[in-house]
Amino acid sequence: MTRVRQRLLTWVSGLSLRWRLSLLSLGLFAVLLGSVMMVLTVAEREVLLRNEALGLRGNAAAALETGDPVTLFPVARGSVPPPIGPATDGVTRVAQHIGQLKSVGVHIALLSPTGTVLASSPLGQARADGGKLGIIVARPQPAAVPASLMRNALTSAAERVPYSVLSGADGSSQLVVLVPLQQDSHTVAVLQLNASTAPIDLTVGTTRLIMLAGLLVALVVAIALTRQLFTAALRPLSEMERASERIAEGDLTLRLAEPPSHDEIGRLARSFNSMVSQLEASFARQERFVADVSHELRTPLTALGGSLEMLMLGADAGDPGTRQRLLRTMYAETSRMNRLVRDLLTLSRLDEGTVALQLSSVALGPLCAEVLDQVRPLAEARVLIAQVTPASLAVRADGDRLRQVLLNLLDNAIRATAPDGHITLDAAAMADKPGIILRVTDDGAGIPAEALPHVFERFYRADESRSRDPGRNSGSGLGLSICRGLIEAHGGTITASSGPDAGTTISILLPQ
Amino acid sequence: MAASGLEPHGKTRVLVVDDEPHIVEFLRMGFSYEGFDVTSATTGAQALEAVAQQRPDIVILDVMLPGMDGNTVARRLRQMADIPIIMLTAREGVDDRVKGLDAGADDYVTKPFAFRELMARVRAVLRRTGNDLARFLEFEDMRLDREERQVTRAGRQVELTPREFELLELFLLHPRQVLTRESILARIWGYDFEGDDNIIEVFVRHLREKLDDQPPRLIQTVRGVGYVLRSAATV
Repeated sequence: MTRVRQRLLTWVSGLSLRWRLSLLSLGLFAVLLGSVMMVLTVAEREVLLRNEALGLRGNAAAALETGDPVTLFPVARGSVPPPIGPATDGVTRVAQHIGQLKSVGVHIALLSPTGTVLASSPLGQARADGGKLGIIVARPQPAAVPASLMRNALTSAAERVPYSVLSGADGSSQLVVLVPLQQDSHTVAVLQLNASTAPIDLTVGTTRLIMLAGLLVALVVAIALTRQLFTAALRPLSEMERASERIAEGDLTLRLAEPPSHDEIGRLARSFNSMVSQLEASFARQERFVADVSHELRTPLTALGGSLEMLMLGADAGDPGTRQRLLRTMYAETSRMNRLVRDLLTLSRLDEGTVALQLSSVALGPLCAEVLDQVRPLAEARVLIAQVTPASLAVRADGDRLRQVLLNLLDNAIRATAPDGHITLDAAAMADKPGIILRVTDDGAGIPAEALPHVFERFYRADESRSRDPGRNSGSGLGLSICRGLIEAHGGTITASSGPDAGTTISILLPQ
Repeated sequence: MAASGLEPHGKTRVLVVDDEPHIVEFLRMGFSYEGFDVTSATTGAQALEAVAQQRPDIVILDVMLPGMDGNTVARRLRQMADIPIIMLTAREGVDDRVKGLDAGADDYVTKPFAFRELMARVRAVLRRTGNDLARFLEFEDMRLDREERQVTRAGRQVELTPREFELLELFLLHPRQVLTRESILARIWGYDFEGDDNIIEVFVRHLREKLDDQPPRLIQTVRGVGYVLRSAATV
């Protein structure tokens, strides 16, 4: 059994989604309709049986009432029941009638309250039409009445019609109605009326066939329609499949047409597109990184290679001073390349969002004092001032990264100012919300207006040449980009304001 | 003092223009070694001034300069004088090359480059513009014609193989300078020569034979270091 089940499951999972959905929904549809059909026909049968039973009992009651034996069920034409004798009591009278009736289609028996058969109509067939139409109606064979039915008949209220469908002596299905006969409020006998259920069964059977046919037709139509519907609804999926293949082959510019609907397919298309955009951006970043690195490394590599060539050629002419100079140059260029690669990697990570910040409460007073001390040798005669208000000001940030940013900004400031210039580093709390403002201000050459919006872009230098001083720290053109990346990773902002010969202020806002 | 192909010892003048001091430094060193007279500039303005004042025979010009960009400098130079220009750049694109060449460059070299290659291009450009490097190299009674690839000693022609010629040329370019074995190898046989360095001895021996360089020799061995071209009288 399990093997069959497995084979079935394998086959089912091999079908396309459309087919599975179609089969599933149609299967349900068929099951539902089928159930409804069954219920209807069962109800129909019950209704028909009940009506028949009611009819039988009605006729019996009417006959008993009027004492008119003719109305006691369809009687074969030409057969006239004998008149009732004057001294007969009801039961005997009825028994006599029964004994002589050649009723058609209904077998009548008279039972004592205990179930003993007192009289029964003759068995055998009778011709209903007296021989003219050739219709033969078989008279049903009597069925043995179960005690429960008898009890039911004797005790149930008048409105209820106890009937049952039993098997006759020859196996045929019969409708059995019991009618209690009462004299002086006692039940003296029970009339058993048997009718064949064959006509009813035929009707119900016909109904079932018609319904089945209808169901099949409906199913066929439904299959065709639902398959169409599903194909149309699922078309975006096969489009997505094609698009995915093209994208996997390398075309990241492709996007799915987004259907205007807000349903699952629409949402899938939209998130698919957003995913591809992410991929495209990520790839573009990587390509850019590679291009940046290879481009920016060309200059230091030239200086490095050239110096090496000079040594190999002996162009230093054996002069130890020259040799040392060449070696120092080579070392400086190597360091420069190191810094460049490291900076580019940092930027790349900042772009991807994979820089992990170690947050803690950073006291700004000590931090500012520390960074100023660190740059003091570089600053030489320049004036360095730190102002932290209030002195206990602290911010939740990554201390090392904050230090890195401040050192970079201070270094820039030192380079931009004259040997007797002033540089101020101040920190204060934000006025309107929790957070701090950090500012590095210098009174140096300033940044021209057209360069100002671009200063935080990578490799941007106010004039399009490389840094003139590879010996100095950074100058890779990436310092400010990294600062921005780090500050934004903290959820803050960094801006520059300046004017030619009016000094520069870099402002950092770190909301908490 | 204009250099001409006829003055045997007139040094060819080169102007090196680049804003990277380390690059200027090694180029200066290299060109001096090759027997050039080197001046340098770090901006476009300086370059134009230097050209006006000194009239170099060739200009090595970096494309990315502060202030005036390299292409503009090249155009201005062209207007000033018909001096050959070789451009240096870190960019690789076809557009950049086209722009540079259209602006007036005679050749275009991308960084990083091997100095040897730059030298070869310089020689090629100077050949084309007829402004040859010092064509003749002389030492005592030896004379080497770099154009015709011929050597004479005391008026008598000497037959040399190409390598022997290059070796003698190297000595004549650096008279009285001790050349180490490594630098000779690098210059003549290339940086990645894997063979036996005794090859230098073999070639020097051949050279001495063909030049009839008997002791006291002109091509002298410096024990443990290399060789030097020196007058026998000098110690």
